[in-house]
Amino acid sequence: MRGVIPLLTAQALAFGVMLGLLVVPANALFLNAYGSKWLPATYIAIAVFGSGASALVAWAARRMRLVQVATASLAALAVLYAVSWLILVAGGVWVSALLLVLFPIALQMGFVFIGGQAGRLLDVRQLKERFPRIVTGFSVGFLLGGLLGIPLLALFGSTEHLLLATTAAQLLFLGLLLTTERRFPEVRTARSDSSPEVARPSARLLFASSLVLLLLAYQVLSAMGSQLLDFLLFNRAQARYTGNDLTRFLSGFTALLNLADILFLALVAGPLMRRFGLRLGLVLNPAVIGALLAIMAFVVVGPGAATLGFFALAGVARISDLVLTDGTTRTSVNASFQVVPVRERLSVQAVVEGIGVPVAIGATGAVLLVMNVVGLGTGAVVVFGVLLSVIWTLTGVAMYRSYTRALATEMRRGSLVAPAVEVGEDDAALHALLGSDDARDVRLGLDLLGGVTSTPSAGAALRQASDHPDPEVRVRALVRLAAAGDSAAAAAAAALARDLARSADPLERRAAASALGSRSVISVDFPTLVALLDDGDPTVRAAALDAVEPEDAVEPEVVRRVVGAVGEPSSTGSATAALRRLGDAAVPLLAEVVARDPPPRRPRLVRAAAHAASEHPVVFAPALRDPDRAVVLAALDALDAANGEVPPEILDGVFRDAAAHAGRALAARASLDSENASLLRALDDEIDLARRLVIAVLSVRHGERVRDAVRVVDRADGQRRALGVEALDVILSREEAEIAIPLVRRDLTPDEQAAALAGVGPTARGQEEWIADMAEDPEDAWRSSWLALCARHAADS
Amino acid sequence: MTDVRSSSAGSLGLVERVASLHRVQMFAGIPGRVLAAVAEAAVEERASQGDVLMEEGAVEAHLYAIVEGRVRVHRGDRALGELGPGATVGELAVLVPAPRSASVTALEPTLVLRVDQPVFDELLVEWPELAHGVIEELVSRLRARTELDEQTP
Repeated sequence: MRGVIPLLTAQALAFGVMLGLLVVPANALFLNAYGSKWLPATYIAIAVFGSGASALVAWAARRMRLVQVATASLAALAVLYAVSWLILVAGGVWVSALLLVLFPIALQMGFVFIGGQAGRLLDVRQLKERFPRIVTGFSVGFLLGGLLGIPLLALFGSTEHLLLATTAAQLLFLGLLLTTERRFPEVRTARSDSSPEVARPSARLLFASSLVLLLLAYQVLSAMGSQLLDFLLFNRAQARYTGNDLTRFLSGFTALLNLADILFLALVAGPLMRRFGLRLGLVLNPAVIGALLAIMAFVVVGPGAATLGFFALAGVARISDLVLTDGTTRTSVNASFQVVPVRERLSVQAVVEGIGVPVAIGATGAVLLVMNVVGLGTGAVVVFGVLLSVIWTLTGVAMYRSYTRALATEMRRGSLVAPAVEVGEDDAALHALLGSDDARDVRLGLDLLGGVTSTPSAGAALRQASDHPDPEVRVRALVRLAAAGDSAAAAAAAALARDLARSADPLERRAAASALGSRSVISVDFPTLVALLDDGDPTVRAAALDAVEPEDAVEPEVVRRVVGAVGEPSSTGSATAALRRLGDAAVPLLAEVVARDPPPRRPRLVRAAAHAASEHPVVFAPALRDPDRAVVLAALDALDAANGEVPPEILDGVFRDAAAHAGRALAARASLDSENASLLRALDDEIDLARRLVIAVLSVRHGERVRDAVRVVDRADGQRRALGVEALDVILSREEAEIAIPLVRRDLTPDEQAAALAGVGPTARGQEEWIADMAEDPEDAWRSSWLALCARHAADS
Repeated sequence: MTDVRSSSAGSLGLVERVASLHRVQMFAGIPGRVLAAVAEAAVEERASQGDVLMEEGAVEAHLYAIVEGRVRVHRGDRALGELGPGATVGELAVLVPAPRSASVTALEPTLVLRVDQPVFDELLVEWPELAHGVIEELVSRLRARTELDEQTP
């Protein structure tokens, strides 16, 4: 989306100019008329009017589109500035209090609208990287607005006329917003649903989310911290300066504040957020402010609050708070909002940023007024600030955790979850199935019946099924009755199973095999099971494998046959399940077979072994060190599925090898001509193998949430895919993410992937050199006979 | 069935065989190193124009991947479609051996790779994602046949 960032930055610039031109006349007029002692009272007024204004925006957001709400709000503010100018010209200086109250409300609204547009036009990754640039526009605008005050004052001759420029800047902001809407209709189409058919979540439901609650708490604490630092600075400045000196100091400090903000946003914030992400972005601001306030508390106890050192620390704390709020906090909060469903996002954002922040400012005003009344000094304000920062930091940590959990939930959204099925014993449909003439229906009925046999109606249905023409139905019904304590049925089932096992018809032998799974209730001799495991018909063998029970682990003849069947395609599934039941008894034989079998069968055996062995290292230690990466992958995937443990040093080794292999394959691929299609394809397969290995390692290290995120990255697009990448970024360590994310992202071209993995790849070589390297593999790095064959083929042709 | 020359060694090298199988949609996602075992076990068959590769009603358990040439799928004289390189015929039989539902005749000199059921079964166990490819192929074949039936009065 070309042009999004310039347009949003231009909006932020106009917005900043407007606020700069609002704050200078509002403060100057109010302080001249009423002095600074009434500042906390304006904080309380901000809480009252700010909450009302935000509630109005949230109400409108549920009924109108984002752009409609923004247009109406910005136009209303422009009218208010113009009317205030008229009142001031008429001598009504009281309106300066209203302007002072309007300032934070306009500030919050502006960011809600700019952030709301950015949230719709940029994905979470782009937001993290580019939102600081947009905010830079605001800081530049604020600086310009402040600086413009001096020449405009000289031009107009009176402070109140600056509000004309404020109104003009507000209209420019509005015009840019409408231009963005025209160029990017996505902003227009994204609206809060107001149709009566679709129920909107209630406020109670919205705020039942721990993430939303923490977002609210975090922003309240952030606003309280900022207000407190603002007050501390004004308080100390007023103690040191008066009259024109105070005005000069405030002008100079405002310029310094915004310059620091611009430099931080331009040079530090982006790389900082890219490098450390939200985990730092949410705690850096409160932690730094907490540390500075703690130092200030020591200064108060020592030299005192009237010293230059304390004053300097107050200035540093205010500057730190502003640069970190704009550079890390605001970006992190906007990114966190991406996991809130889009339908609710604007409402929540308006409430959190609009109501939470004014309430925080009001609460700060109330605390300061109370401290003033009680007679507590600056030291008490600082101690209160330290406590606030500690809570704010802890909230940041909790919010990050909540964000990662919300991301994980978002990654799982849409995945298939099997509902639990319960069949009642008096279920009419079940009895209808058991009474059916169709053998398939009766088998389904027997499957659904589970352990229910005790009721008279179920017993009658089973007795009816025991006379069914289908031998499998007959024997299974008898087994069910035997399980319910019917000794006659047990004897009949055993006799029938023995007869069927000797039948020439494979269907009847299969029915016999299926009955052997209930040897605890019917008595069938052991050689019958062995004979059926050796049956010539694969379906009979599979049924006999299904009948293998944990108690058979003591029979070497059974264990040998089960292990042997893992290698047979037609019985792999049943044999694997049988191995799981046999458990550790199969381990020695399995380990022997895994080590001995040829490469093509090893991955299959390894997969089966993972289900069987609780003593995984016995079987898997050799597999995890196998030179064939496909065997290593099979072992890792199988261990992951079986929750088996893998020694960390082995995981590290596999990860390093897979990363190097991917880097090497991508570098080699980049050197090849397109006519080497088979070799290119073989390299793509190697890159995919390395990708799977990396995912397998990370899944063992960090759990299933890695595969959930990879699934989203693979299958989704746009915002949702970016959320998947963001989830990986949050789950993985920096070192892991640098390798895994470029490999996992299929939207990157091989050249982009190669560039991202250049650090782990070898130095550049020519095509012929690479082909020779792959064909000969002198360093035993490729370890792929297929790749070598393709390379030799490419060399020959 | 008319004489069709078979050869497991064949004229294609292993790399060409794998490349030919990769052109078949069903096998396109399978890595070459896995498909190499299939390609190695596959049998090359060359058919001249008019040779019958598959006869309706015959019970067989293999599929053909067409490498070169074109074939006609028909029931008696009724044409069901024409297929060329990258297509497969006989997927149903390789999954569940049963009488062939249609005949397949070469329209021009044609080279095919024959994949037998045990090889295919091995591949399905080794690479379960193949099942998706098989389903896609069968669905598209079923759709084409349904459309043909609807068009035929």
